[in-house]
Amino acid sequence: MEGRPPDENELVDRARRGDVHAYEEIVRSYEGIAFRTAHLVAGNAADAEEAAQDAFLKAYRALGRFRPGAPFRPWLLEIVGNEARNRRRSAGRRDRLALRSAGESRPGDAAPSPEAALLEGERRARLLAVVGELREEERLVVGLRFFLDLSEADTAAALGVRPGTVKSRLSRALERLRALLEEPDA
Amino acid sequence: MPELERSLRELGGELAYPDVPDLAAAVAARLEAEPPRRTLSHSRRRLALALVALVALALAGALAVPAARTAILELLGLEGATIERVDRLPAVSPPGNLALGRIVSLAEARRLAGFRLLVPARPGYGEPDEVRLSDVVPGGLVSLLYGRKDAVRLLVTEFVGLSEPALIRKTLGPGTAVEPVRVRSGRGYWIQGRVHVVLFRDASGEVRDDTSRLAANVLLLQRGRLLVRLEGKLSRAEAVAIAESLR
Repeated sequence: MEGRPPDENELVDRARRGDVHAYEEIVRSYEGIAFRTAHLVAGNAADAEEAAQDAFLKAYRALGRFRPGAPFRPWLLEIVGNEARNRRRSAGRRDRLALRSAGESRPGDAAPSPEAALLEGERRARLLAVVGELREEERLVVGLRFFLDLSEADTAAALGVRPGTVKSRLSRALERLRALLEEPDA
Repeated sequence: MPELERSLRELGGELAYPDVPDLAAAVAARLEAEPPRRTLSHSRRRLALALVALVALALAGALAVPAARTAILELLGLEGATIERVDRLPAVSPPGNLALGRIVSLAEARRLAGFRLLVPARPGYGEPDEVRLSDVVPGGLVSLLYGRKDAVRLLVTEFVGLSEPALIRKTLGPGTAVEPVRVRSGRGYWIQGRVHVVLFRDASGEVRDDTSRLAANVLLLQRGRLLVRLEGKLSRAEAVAIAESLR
């Protein structure tokens, strides 16, 4: 999803030595995934913005501890996840994820027939609703793995758990979703 | 079934996410605006300074605390633009050295300290047996000793200093015996049986360090702008009870 900037290792190296502009490039390439991860974990955009910003600042100050050549993304996402979790403990609005409205379909999508569009919309709304019924820790792995398309390792880093835990939570979540989907609509 | 997973991924593409703010600009602006690390003038002393304090465990070998401040900071990954003038820090008090300034009465300590002194109010810890005041940090460092120097029951040290919990946990890494502890009215850290160094920023913004004095259990506590250390042969529950009785 997110493209790596050219010579990320070089940018990290320069940033470690105090080059703020190099770090700014790094932030630019990761701000999307950092913010969205924070949003999923913290639950609202205002807290997510603060969390992501503070995470980038802390990451900058902790660059001395970052092993050159190591994957930067999980290292950063762990810091983001921590910040977002810290903010989640204080009172905050919890956003509900919502579907984009029909008018926001991406350019290039073939226009579906009205019937197909309606059916598809209902199916998606139902799927989103059952995801919302999952327990928080299962909802988070589903969101990070499938909605944000993070790898298992990155998901584990963002949540501060081991990859094995992500695997098991995910399989429980999928089981639960299947069970919920099979129930007739209330 | 891959069917469900595929549907979920597609769903992810259909969600209305909030717009991503321009974090790159905000972060760059913050980093460029950070003042160079020199002693802040009186007019800039503010409680709301964003400060850093870290706990580093001594390396294996009970009292082998890295002597040079630079070494400590490198160990903790703090070298770089955020910390300057490392060599200006005062000497780390040798572990086991309980000479923490001059002996004063509790009343004098209350009067002379640049902060409201906290004293345990738990049964068994009435008046301290010895009170010392040192001016090694702005506002003073007050130590309350319960017991005797060679048989310390409890040593309470307090001074103005601010810590940052997320960094404390990060610095220590896996397998470290430091646990965050919930203490009413403050953030606590429980550190077992190791001599350790706390880095903090004092009221004037300088990075300072403070070494624990005993190789005993420690409850490190942030109460407002005070950093309080409770050291002794305490169980965690006792330490928390004493911490919650502080007033």
